Amino acid sequence: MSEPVTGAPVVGRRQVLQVAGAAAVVATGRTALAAPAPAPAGVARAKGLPLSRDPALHVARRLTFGPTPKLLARIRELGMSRWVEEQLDPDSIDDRTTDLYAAVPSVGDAPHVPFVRFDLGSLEAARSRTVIRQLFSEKQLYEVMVEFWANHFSIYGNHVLAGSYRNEDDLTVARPHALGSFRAMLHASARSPSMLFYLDQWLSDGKNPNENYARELLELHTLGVDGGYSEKDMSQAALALTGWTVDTGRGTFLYRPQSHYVGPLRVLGWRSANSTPQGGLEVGASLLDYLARHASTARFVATKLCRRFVSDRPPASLVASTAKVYLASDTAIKPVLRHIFASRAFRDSVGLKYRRPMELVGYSVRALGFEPRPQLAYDKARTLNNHLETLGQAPFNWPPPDGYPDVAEDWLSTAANLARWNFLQQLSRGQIGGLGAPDYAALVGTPAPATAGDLVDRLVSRLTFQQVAAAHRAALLRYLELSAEAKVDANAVRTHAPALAALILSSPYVGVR
Amino acid sequence: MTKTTSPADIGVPGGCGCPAEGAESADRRGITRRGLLAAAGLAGAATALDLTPGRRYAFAAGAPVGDTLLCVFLRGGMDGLSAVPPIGDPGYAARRPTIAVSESEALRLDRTFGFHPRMAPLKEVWDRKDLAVIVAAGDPDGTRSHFEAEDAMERGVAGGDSVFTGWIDRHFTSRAEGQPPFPSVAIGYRLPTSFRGPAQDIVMRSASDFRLNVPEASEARVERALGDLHSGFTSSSGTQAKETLRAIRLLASRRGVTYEPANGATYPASEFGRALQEIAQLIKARVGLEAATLDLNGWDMHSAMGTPDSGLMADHLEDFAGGLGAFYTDLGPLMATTTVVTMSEFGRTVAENGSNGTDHGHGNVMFAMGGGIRGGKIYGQWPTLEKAELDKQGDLRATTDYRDVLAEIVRQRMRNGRLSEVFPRYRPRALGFAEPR
Repeated sequence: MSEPVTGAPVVGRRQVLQVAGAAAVVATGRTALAAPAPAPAGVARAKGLPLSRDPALHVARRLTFGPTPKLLARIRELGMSRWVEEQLDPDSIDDRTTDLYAAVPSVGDAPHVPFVRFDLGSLEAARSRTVIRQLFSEKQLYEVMVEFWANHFSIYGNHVLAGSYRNEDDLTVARPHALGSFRAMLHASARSPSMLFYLDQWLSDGKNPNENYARELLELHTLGVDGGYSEKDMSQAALALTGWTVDTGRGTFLYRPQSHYVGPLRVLGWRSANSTPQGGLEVGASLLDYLARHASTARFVATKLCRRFVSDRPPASLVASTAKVYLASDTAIKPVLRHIFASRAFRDSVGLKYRRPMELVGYSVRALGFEPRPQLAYDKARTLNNHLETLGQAPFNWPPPDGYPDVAEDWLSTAANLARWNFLQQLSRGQIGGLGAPDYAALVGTPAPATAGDLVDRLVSRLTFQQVAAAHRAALLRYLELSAEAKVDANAVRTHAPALAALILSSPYVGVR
Repeated sequence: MTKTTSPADIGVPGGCGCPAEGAESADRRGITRRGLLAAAGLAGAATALDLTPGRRYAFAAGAPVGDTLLCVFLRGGMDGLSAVPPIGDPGYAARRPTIAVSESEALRLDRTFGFHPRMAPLKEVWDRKDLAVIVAAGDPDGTRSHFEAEDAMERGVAGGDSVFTGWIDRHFTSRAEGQPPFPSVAIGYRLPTSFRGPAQDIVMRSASDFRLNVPEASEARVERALGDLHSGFTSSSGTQAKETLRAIRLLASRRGVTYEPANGATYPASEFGRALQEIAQLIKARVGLEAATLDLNGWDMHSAMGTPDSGLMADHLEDFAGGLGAFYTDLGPLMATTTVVTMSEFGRTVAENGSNGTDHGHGNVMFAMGGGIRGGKIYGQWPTLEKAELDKQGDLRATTDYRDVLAEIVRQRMRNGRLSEVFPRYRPRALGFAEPR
């Protein structure tokens, strides 16, 4: 048994209230980033849950979609920092098997002219590739970061115009820049037809600007809502970007000088004479450069990364030092990640994060030993995506532009819980289309377990990579209505493992990480 | 601006939330103002109540203390100037060349205001004097960020105020009677911020299929095991798991129940229409439901709003008004003890932008509907759309704080006078649209 989680006194959502009463100073919600108030270190932390603090397991739980025996062996073999370096160099990793299954063509029957019809193939290709790679890619940290940035520059795939270009956005924004420079990624996003359609930038012109994109550019992509800008700054930014649009015939980025507003502009410390229509492309680019390198952007991006990898309310000192690294490295992402992973706060953060639905699905599919199969490619992972939709976190399926939330309380509800349990029931019984059934005999190993206790222990260990509290082991045996010593025959694995696996994967040893 | 300067003058007699009034209030349940029961088309309502044996009494229900509240959040920033166009305001039509509702199209309410033509189902409720319209409402200092504004409004505080809980949760934790007989219900997937806090709640898509997907024979064992696996430690996720198991048991008696709306009510075939029926069902089952929320999304129309005849806005308003109109018809006499309030994070720019849309604005409209609402009347001060009267960004001001609207419902209809706990650091003003219950 691993040692119990200890550390700062942390309490659950409901306990917080009892302690602090109505004036409790924990601002939350989808705007948690905006919350100025101090807060407990980790609302998600499970006090008294003996979650293993094995460093390799911690890294696997946080930097990937889920540990596998092979992955843990690799981390142990290389040591954490060398394994991180390997993951930070994804081109060096052989991922040909996943490439094969993830290569869903964008159907090819739909021209990228949005007014003709919605190119469902584009969205489907992006969703299929995303899910298959998250589940099976060897480049796990890369996929985690692709998801992070896709969510930072979130675009709703079912948006009637943006959706037809969602796949292209994936291939030109998050994927090429996930471990590159934030500044370059911001430029790519600002030229992505999908984004320009989604936030109406393609319609904006100097006479009558549309503010949608400029507002979210400042609030969600760069400075953050507390980034110190005013409504005036926002409308000036909107003017600076007029003329940035889409060639709707070709479906490509277009700068249209005749739509550009001309005249002096000012956004926070950025100034531009902006004196010619032809100069608008450079003016916009210079604003993006300024925003990417702004201290508020550094703080905002650092906060989100620390929240992803460390805790829902990351320590202010870590956020500050991470922001410094971001600025010192001229927005390069790898040094920022190295800094966070090497921090003491990261090391001490076992149990502070809750597994969101996508992360739960990834964990469970990987832990149950599923392999990619031709059926999954034929299915284009549609079935899995439909399940993710029910679970509330299908890729590119969040309508507003702020992206899926990354704090536990946004994922805790009776509806969310029930959906998780029911998905795990189906997955464990092999009822998810495209995936097949788990090979439980292989999971528990040979020779087959002789007692009920042995069966439970082997499944627990294989699916959680640790042992669980005695009371929780007893709960699983009680479910079987068998004592630990009860003899089981060779059929026991087939009979009992699916239901046991569903329970183990529904347990806090998986839900909390 | 008329924000917090005025004293708390909301003390309308009879609505103080004193526990002693509970019995009297219970007697009044079902008694309707202005003879709602007798109203044409509603006479047969009583026969359609869910009287299935074993259903009505399946919950450990008690009598609600106040009205059942349904709070509808219109996400994205609903354009109140389209829903309730100020057709008599000279500043209106000129600034909206393609999207304005003309005087001839509007369903006239008074000299200044009309309803969008697709609001017809709510015009009927207005005519029955069960729908009040509060104009130029919102957060007086409001942010124009969707996320910040929604969050603040659901917490029931000013933008920068750091209060963890939601206003509906604080209603239950502050009042003398404590927890409601039945948990608060949200139709959807996420816990609404207004429910955050210690009071019980259920978030669900549908009551009739809220169950574990396991063979019936093993259901009890699976539930017990899940409960055991979430015991022995404290965490928010563990607590949530136990609440989920409790909700499964609480809703077990609703399994497979099908629903026929009453009085010929026809809900729109939409998510919103379906969600409203879930709430109507629970109200009719008399389980003791006191608060429910649901969302209607998709109001962030920066482009392609269409015209009053067709397009995005017309479709959304049809769903909205058709849904609430059907809910009103369906509940019939039960509307006497039901209050619906609608809110949205902000209104939109007075001027149309270049894309047949509007951008984020400020003041907006709120609706309050129910038997206890003094409807058929416009409430709030209309600052007009004259340039000098607009806010710094050139938009409609919010002259009525959204908390004034919510507080009046909490006090008069939900019978809780502890407004300083429900809306901390704010002293609500009375508007007079809600009768004391």
